[in-house]
Formats: sequence, structure tokens, C-alpha cells
Amino acid sequence: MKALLFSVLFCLLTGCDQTQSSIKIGVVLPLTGDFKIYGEQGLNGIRLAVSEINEAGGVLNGRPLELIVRDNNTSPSETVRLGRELIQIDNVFALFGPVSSNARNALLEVAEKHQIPMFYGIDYEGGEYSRYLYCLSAIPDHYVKPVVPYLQQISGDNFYIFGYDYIWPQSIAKSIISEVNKGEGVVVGREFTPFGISSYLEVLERINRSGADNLMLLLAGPDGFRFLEQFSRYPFDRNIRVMAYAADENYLQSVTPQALEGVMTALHFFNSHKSPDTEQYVRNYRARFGDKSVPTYASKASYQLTYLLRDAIEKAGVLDREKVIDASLQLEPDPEQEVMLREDHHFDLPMYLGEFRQGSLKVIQELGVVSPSDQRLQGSP
Amino acid sequence: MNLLTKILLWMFPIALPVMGFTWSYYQAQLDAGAEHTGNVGVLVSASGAQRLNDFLRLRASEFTLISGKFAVCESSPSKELYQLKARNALQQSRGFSALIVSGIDGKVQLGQVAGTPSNRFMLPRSLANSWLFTAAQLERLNSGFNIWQEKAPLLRKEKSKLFLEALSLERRGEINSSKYNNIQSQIFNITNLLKQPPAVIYFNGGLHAEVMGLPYRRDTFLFTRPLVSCEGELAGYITAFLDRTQIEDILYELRQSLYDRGIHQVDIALMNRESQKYETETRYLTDRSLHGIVKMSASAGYQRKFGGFLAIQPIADAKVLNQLMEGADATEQGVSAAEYQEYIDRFSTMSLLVFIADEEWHETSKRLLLKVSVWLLLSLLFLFVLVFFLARNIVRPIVKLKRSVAKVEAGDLMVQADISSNDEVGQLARAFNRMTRALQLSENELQRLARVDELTGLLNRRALIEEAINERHRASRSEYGISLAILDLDYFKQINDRYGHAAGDLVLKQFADMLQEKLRKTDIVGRIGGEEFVILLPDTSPESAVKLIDKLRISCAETMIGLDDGILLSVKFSAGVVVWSADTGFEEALHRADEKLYQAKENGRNCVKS
Repeated sequence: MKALLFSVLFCLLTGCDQTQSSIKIGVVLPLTGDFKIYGEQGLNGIRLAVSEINEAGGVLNGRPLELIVRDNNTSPSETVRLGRELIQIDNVFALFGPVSSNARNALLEVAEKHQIPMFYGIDYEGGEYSRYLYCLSAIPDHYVKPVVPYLQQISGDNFYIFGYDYIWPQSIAKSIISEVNKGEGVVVGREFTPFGISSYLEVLERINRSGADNLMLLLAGPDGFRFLEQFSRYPFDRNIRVMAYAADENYLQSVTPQALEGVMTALHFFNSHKSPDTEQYVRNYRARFGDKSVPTYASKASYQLTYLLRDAIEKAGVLDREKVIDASLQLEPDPEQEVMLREDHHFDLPMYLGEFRQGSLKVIQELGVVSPSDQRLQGSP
Repeated sequence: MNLLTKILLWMFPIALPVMGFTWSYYQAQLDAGAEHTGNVGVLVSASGAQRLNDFLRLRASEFTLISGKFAVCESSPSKELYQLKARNALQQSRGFSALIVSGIDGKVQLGQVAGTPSNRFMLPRSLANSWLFTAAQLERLNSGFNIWQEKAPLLRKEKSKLFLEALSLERRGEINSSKYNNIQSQIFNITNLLKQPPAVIYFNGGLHAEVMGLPYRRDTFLFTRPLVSCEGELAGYITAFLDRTQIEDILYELRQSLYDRGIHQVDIALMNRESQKYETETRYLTDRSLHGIVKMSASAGYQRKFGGFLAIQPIADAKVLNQLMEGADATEQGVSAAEYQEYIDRFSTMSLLVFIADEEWHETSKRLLLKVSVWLLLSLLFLFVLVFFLARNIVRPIVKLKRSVAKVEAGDLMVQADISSNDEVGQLARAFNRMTRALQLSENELQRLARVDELTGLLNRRALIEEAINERHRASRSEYGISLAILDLDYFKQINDRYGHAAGDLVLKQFADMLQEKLRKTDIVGRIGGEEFVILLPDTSPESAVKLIDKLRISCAETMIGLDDGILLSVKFSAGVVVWSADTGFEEALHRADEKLYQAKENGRNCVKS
């Protein structure tokens, strides 16, 4: 009775503007093309969060979130076209996606022009700051700085860097080099390759000859799968430790266990990690997408970003983009995991080092919550 | 049905006009909202068409500038040279996203993408060796060029004739004459026409835009002009792709101006009557409504069949822009705004659509209905509460009064209706109170009369017995008990006989007064018949009782009673006094006292026996 009275009073005071129409969220992700696996994971994370939020009564007194999903086919210009359409025609409140720095920069320009908040949930090179951009991303500070000394300790001082010829591998490489040079380490080789190379034999020979103890691998997606297979079959004259950036549980389905054995990766989420929070997430994910489905960090990041948006809207109390952005700071979309949004719109993340062993990916070392330097001071890389 | 319900029922019709008023308010608000939205829609469509037309006109003149870069023929044309020219040309424009050079056959030779913001992150792909024009388009470009080529010698001849005329005027010093001015302007126009073959504008190229990797897939305005070799022959074509995203941005700004007014369920779209399709994305306008819309001319209003408000406003299309370019080339002053509008009205097959879907009204009306219902409910509740309290205020005193009346009916005359209000009900209550009080008084009098001896004012026999019983109860706590005396006047019959009954009565009355005067307050006196009196002496021992009565006898005998005719009498009495003990009845005690009285009478009267 009291609640009814209050709602009636509230209704009169606000002119009864509380409509139950949905809040539209635009998603532009690669559901086809090279980064498909990350795009699908990201979408699943968003879908899971949205269905949870809607089941729990939506946002702002019962308004449900509505997803409008578009596939950019891993293309930046498609990203621009779709982003524009989502904003201009569908009038979405916020954008999620895409994957890759080219596509992100392209979409950010659209988002900034239209003043639409945009949520990016995959690793990148760091140093990007915009009022309208949120990056729940592992950036070099997250997983280069803590990893290099560890590798030196367990494996050796010589590093070989191999990756795609585009901005993310190059920036990570730069950061690896500066980190290696800080100590006793030496970068004995650095090499970048175009997309879609079928044989890496020459590269493997060069790695063998370089005397490297550690290979820092910056090939995500199908090329990375192929490379690892060839790497495992190559007769190296010594043991080389592979640190494969952005390698996640998806590799288990695409790469043979022999090729993966001993490969390491650093991420902010491993689905095999023994913590109640992770176990709960994996359970919910499988309940939604099937027992065989494999949640990865890409889904978790998008999931957390969706909750960040929800919390920010709730905190702002109105569906006003600028107010929501203002309200977002210092929010913790996943308090259990100590994931906290900072003023530079990046996150302090709990980092883990994982290793592929006998067909599974296990956490071998907790790196703790890593707080990168302020990304506003980095300048555009 | 009680009074409260009756009043409530009688007052209920007041709710009807309240509801009626609310309903008409709701309707009026709805109409006003619809009208307002319609007005906004009309405004947005008009200003939107204006902006689009201005934008397109600007692009037309920008294209003249761009194509001017290619107007000077190249003796040894190369791909690199054209690429450089294209890049330079695009740097000087804002509204084009790509420039394509194609051969005489329309085969693409090279393409250059502009560095507009929307293009910055795209990965450009080559269009080389694809075909840019349809056969019909190529035919039209060709014939345009041929006509221009054929007309050129004539125009040149005309121009030299005009030159000579101007020269002769100059010689005569007539350079300020209107004729001279006229010739000069004709020369200017002919020079202009000779400079470049006519441009042709198409609305097309969506496929090419997609292949090139431009951030759109739909058709846009393609501004095309033939390239002329130094021999004066057709050398190929340059085609500029108007940056479609800028048109979309204009549409989005229009959309936003509606959002800002709280109108969200809208489509702002371009519709092509010729190709019978929407040229931009729509969400509410369907393909089914397209068939109806293409048949309509410029208009604005609610369209039931399409499910919303629709404003159709023609805008410049390829045909209009072709006219515009032609006019701009042919006359010095260019084309005036009025002429431009006239072209649009006459030739345009493209329209700006502003559509506000029914969903918008549903939402607004639902919101309004909710608001109105809440107010209605509140006012009805208020009315009900007020009427209820009013009714209760009126009814409550009446009910109270009714209860008082019921009590009186049941014999309780002590009832007073406790109503303090000053209204009619209050007055009624006070009248009722006065009435019950009067009733009570007369009742008291009746009771008193029933207990009193009419002649002497003393207790009569029955009342005396009642008092005696009461006294008996009280005496149980007293020390001495009750004494009882019975008095009988001596020789009273003689007084009656001698002076008459009236005198006898008078004597009895005077004697009674005397008794009351001389006895103690606590003593109870009654007349039990004729000249017999009984005195109850509570808390009095027999000795003091005898003493007291004896004293009374002496004092009475000494007191003279005056009759009417001046005769003075003294009254003597005989008395019997007994103790009324607790275990005997009053009648028995009385009987014993009567015996004592008899003894006193026997004993010669005027004495007290105990």
C-alpha cells in the first residue's frame, strides 16, 4: 500500500514519464572473419549479462535492455557503417565492440562524433583515452611487465618476438623490448608477418638459430593455431618456452594438445580457475549456451562491461549518456574480482598466468591485481 | 438503507462530471499532442529539405571546382598524373569521398579515396578494371559530349563575333553602355560552356562504394564529367562519389531534433519515386507503405494506411542537379534560389520523408492516460472522503439524538443529548433536552404528590412506611435504635363540630407545621389518617424519645393556633412511644405504639405513655 502510494506520488511528480520501453544497446562484433572467435565470445558475454539483468527486473525500474547485434566481418569500414546505422537509425544508447584496434579506432570516431559511450572488451596495445571509450582490456602493463621477469626466472634471458604486422603486436613487442632491456634479458629477434601465411618454416629456423629461450607469440586466431602446430613439430635444438598472447581456452579446440603442451598465456580470466566467482560464471554460461560451450576472458570482459553500463545507468538515475558517463567512474562491475574502472576508462585487473597442460589450460601463477599506469599519459601509440 | 449510504449515493453523481471532465481533458491533450507532433514533423521536413538542397547545391559547385582541375588537357596522360590530380582535387573538397577516373568505355582506371573522417580507418581496395556506368548512362554521357563537341565550333564563331562587336564598342568609347555589358556577359557564358563538356549526375554507385570499402553500401550522387584530350576528343570520365555519410548525418540531425522534442518512434528517410525504393534505412516505414507513398505528392498529415504521421517533401535529385549544373554553366548569374526550387518542384522524383509512427502516439497516449487516471482516481478518492466525512458530520448528531430518544422511550428521563453544534441539528438537540428536562420535572412532582399528605404536606401513610423501611436499614449501624411515636389530637372532633371542617383542616395544617418546626431534622413525620400522626425518631433511646415527645406536647399546648375568625386555640395531644426493635415489622411497632396511645387516652388525655 505504501509502495503504491509512493509510486503514484512519484508518477505525479515526474509527469508519469516512466515508460517501460527498452534500452537499446548496439553490438558490432566480428561474427565472421579472422577475429570471429573473440567476437562470438564477446557477444555471449553480453547476452548472458543482458539476460541476467533483464530477469532481475531490468534497469531504471524495469526497463529491459535490448540488444541489436551486427556482424562487421572483421572489417573496419563495415564497423563504421554498422556503427553509424545503429546510432543514426536504431538510436542505440551505447555501443559494444568491436575487436581489433583498427576497428576500434574507426568506431570510436563515430562514437565520439555522436557522443555515444562505447565498450571495448578485448586486449589491445593501450594508450587510448576518450570520454566515450571504455576498455576492459589487458594492455601491455597488465601482462608484459609481470610476465617478462617470470620467464627469465624459469626459462632464460633470451627473447624472440614474433607476431602479426599490425598495431597490437607491434606495440606489445615494443613494450616487451623495453621490459626485457630493464633487466639482464636480451631480445635476440623480432619479426612481424602478414595475415594468412601457410608455412612458418623459415621463421622457425630463424628462431632456432637465434638462441632464444622464450618465444613471445603475438599471433591470434587461425594463423596462431597453424604456427603452434608447426612449432611443435620443428626439431629445435633446445627447449623454447612459448608465451602466446591472447591465447585462451578456444585454442584447446583448434590446436592439438601436443602442440599446446607447455604454452603459456597471461589473462584476467581462466575458466578453470578455482574460485567461487569463476565457477559460478562458468555454470551460468554453460546453462545459457550449452554444456559444451567454453567461456573465455573475452566473454567475461564483455559480461563485466555490460554490468558496468547497468550500474552506471542505475547510479546516474536517468537515461542520459553524459550523466551515465559521469556516474561510471570508480564503479566496480565485478567486485569479487576486484575489477575497478579508473579515471582513464581502463581497469585494474586481476591477472593470472596460465599454461596448457595435457589438453587443458590451468592457472599456474596468480599475478595479483595489476594496475597499469594512467593511459591518458601514454599518448596515442 | 441508512442515512449515510443515502447521502453517499446522492453525492455520487458529482463523480460523473469529474470523470467527464477528465476524459475530455485527456482527449484534448491527445489532440494537442498529435497536432504538436504534426507541426514538428512539418517543420522538420521543411527545414530538412532545405538543408539537403543547400548541401547538394554546394556539392554541385564543389564538383565544378574539382572537375576544373581536370579541364586542362594532358599531352601525355598517365595514371600517376591523374592519381595526383585526383588527390589534389579531393583535398579541396569536403563533400566527396572518392574520385574515379575511367576510360572512354567506362572501365575504371584508377580510384582515389578522400581523407574524410568517415574514410580514415578503412582499408581502401581497388576498383580497377570494373565498369562504372551502365550502357544507358554511358550513352548519355557520350551524346552529351558529342553535342557539346558539335556545338563548340559554332560557339567559338559566336564568341569571336561578340569579341569584334565589343572591340568596336570599346573604340567608340561605349564601354559603359548596356549593350557592351550584355556582350561581355554573353562572352563569359560562352567561355564557360566551352571550357568543359557538360557534367552529368547519377544516383548510383552503391556497389562500387562497397567494393572500394567506403563506409556505405547504398547509392549516392555520382558527379561525372567527360575528360577532353588536347585534340579535343573524348579521353575518359572523372566521377566523384558524393560522401553519402554526410547526407545520413543531416538526416540524423533532423532525427535528433525530433528526439529532443521527445519524439522517438520516427523514420527520416529518402524515397526515390523513380526506382520505387527507400534510399536510406527505415524502421517503421515498410515496403508495403512504399507502394502507396510513391504515388503521393508533397504533403503532410496523418496517414491511417501507413500507421502514422507522414510528411513528404521533394528534394533535389540527380535530374534537378543536372538542370542546376546546366543552368550554372550557361548563365553568368548562375541559378537563383527560386529557380532551384522551381526545378525541384518540377523535376524531382526524390523526397524526404518524415514519418512519426503510431507507436509514438501509443506511448504518449499511454503515458497521458496513466497520468490522467491517477489524477482522476485521486480526485474521486478525495471526493469520496470529503462526502463521507460531510455525511458523517451530518448523520452522527442525528444518530446520537436517535439514541437519546430511544433511551427516553425506554423510560430514562435523565438523558441529555450531547450535541454542541449550533446548526439546526444542535437546536433540535437543545429543544429535545429542554423537553426531557420538563418531562423529568413533572415526573418528579407526580412522585412527590404520591408520597405527600395533601392537607399537611407531611408524608402520607405509604411514604412513611417506605421511609421507615429505609430508616430501618440505616439504623442497623446506629447506637440507640429507632423510637416510634404515635400522636393523636385530643378532642379534635369537638373542634370540627364547633368551628367546621375547614377550621379542623386548618388546625391539622398548623399542627403539622408546628411539628416540623419543633422536631429535629432527622426526625420523620407523617400523617397516617384523621388526626393521627407518626413520628420516627432515628438513633434515639426510648427515654429521650419520651422526653422529646413530652416536651413537644407541652410546647404545642402552649402555642396558640389562630383560626380565620380570630379565635385562638391551643392543641393538645396524647401520644404512645415505643422502641421499634430490629426484629419486628413496622406495622407491629405501630400497633404497639397505638396501644400505648390508647392507654394515654384512657389516662385522661394530654399525656405521653411508653
